[in-house]
Amino acid sequence: MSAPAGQIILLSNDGVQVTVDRLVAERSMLIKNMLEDLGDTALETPVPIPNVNESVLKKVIEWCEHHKNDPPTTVDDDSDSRKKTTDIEEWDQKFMQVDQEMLFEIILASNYLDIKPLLDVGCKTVANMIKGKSPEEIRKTFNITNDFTPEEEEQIRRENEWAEDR
Amino acid sequence: MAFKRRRSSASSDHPFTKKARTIHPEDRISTLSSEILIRILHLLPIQTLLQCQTLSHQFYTLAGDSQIWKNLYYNRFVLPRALRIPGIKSSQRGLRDDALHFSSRRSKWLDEETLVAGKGGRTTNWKKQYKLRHNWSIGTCEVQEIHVADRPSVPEMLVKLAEGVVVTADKEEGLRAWSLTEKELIAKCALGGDVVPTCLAVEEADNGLGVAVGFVDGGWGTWRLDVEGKEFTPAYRHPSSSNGSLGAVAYAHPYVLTITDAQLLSLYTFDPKPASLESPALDPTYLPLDPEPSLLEESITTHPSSLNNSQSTLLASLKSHTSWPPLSLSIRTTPSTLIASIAYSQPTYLSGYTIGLQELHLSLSTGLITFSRLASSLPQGFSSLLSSPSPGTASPALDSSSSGTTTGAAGGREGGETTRPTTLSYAHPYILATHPDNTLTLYLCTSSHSTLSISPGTKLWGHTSSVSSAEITPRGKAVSVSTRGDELRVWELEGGFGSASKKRVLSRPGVAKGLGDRSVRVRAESRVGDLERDGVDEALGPGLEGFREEVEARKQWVGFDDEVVIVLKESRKGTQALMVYDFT
Repeated sequence: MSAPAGQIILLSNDGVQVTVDRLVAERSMLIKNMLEDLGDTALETPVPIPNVNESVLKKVIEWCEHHKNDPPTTVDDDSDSRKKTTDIEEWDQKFMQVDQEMLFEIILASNYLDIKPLLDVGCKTVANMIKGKSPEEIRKTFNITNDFTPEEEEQIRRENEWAEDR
Repeated sequence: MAFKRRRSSASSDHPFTKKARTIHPEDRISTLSSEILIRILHLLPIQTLLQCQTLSHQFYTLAGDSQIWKNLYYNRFVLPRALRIPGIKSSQRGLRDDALHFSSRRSKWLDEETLVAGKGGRTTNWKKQYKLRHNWSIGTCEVQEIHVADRPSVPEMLVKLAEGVVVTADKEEGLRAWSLTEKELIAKCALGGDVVPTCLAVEEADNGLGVAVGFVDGGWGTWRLDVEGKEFTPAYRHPSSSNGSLGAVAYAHPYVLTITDAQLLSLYTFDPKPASLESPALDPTYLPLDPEPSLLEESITTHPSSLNNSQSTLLASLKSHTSWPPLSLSIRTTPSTLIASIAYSQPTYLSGYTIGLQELHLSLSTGLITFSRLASSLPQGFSSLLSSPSPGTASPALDSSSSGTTTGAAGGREGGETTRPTTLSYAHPYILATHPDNTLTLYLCTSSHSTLSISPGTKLWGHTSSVSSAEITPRGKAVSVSTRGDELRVWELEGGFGSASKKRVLSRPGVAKGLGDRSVRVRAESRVGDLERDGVDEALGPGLEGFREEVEARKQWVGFDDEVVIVLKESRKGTQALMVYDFT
């Protein structure tokens, strides 16, 4: 089965076919590069996305639809040059109002599909969840198990004392 | 559910199923890859980042990642400097706009490339570096003591610090080297003969340290210190001379610069190459081309000196009548030239003292003096308001011919030193003088092909008692110590100096404030309590209790490197110790 002109079929890992505009799908550098490498033959068969299930794939496509006209991100091999801010635009904020499970699935999917701006939004959302919380609150938020002994914890606290009076 | 947990089960469903079960089933964040977690942590402020280290072992490692801290270090300590340096932005024009934004490969790291490249193949621990710079900036350190002598030595014990090794020289014990990492004596050797050392210079060499010592009898010697092998090897001994006691020495292999108390300056080399071309040097026409009557008069032409195991050749010798101690000698090399400098205090009529600097330029290929030049600073406080509205204030470059004018005009100054500076520290382009009146004076030298000049001095306030010693680095970081009151201050004097000295002419109080803010008083923390609680045995040397008596102590000398400040302290009882202020 081949997709209508200008469209591409993606196959989620739970076997669901999702049809999207090629332009939208090319927000993913992975798909874009693949299409460049394989040429239009790739359009004729569904493209398997082995790491992403249907609900996450649809969510990611929703984001790509909204941002399809954004200027393309410069290919920056050095991820450190990102601006260090956690400001998120309003639409993205609403978009990210999902449960933690979905949030992390989106981050993983955008990482796998190589959609840098979406990955950034995801990371910023998590950073904002961490900011301004005590370690105990952070652990509670993410259900992180404290695997330190009280002595170890005290030692780390003292190790980092130098920054406290700022 | 089992299906949706596919990823977490992929990473945690290994044989330790028990452990996997103790992790709360919904701890999803910990199952993200390190790369993604570091991306997230990158976005956090430092406080939160450090808090994240206490979450779990995994987060401890991730939040201490050098990639994150390198970025933080760059943004806080390198970028602001880069932006202060005029022209750095415009020189980047045509390249990417973000050349000054952090990027591990493209960024301008100024002179901190050694950190980026990793010293000696080691990778830099950026969190540690960040903490170090942070502690310097707020003046926090731990203090430790290394006991060096039971009695006061006469004359004073000489001390220098280089590459984590403190070298001391005194009559009783000879030459000794102390390791700062181990806080103990690593090497010792006699000076040979019953001689009193009067000056000491240490240079960093490829595999150890080069040490030069000058003696009261006019002789001098060099040693090599093998830090790894913990051994001093005598390298050369220059016989005593009738010219009198040596007042200062500088060493940059293969060159040695000495000056006697009678202001006879001599430059020697161990390099045989110039020696072979030595005979033309005897021709007086090759000697200093200074067309004006120089303050330093040439008195002796070159002659080969006697040798022990290697040869030293006298390249040049000059005699001064007007330079007074304290003196500071230095040798620096450019690809083609050797520049031997002497910074000295210079008495001026009516007004006390100012700072003079003479440079001797020698060609490295021939070993001949190409030229020599002088500059002196306008006396502190000299302003055009009272006397002449001359452009002198704006360009204080003085050749020796016009120095008479300076001294004459100096009557118009207000306040300032009527006393001789107690010490001078010269590290191009800075000269830092300490005064008994609780202040320091900073001078900025400009040395180019055509000119040599010294800016008017800028007073640095901050100390509350007489400043006994100070040291400055070429990067403008300085440490000063008060004789009494146990006060140690760290100064960041780089950048903005030019504008500050301009402001000085307009409004002095403004500058007093501006520059006063540049120093931080070091808050030494004696961690006795902590150490006891830990039971950590950090070789503290005898007597942390000695820390308390410090108010009574006399401090004589200060030196520092990237991590520590060393102060030689003599307590009232007469024992001598090295105080180690550790910023790590």
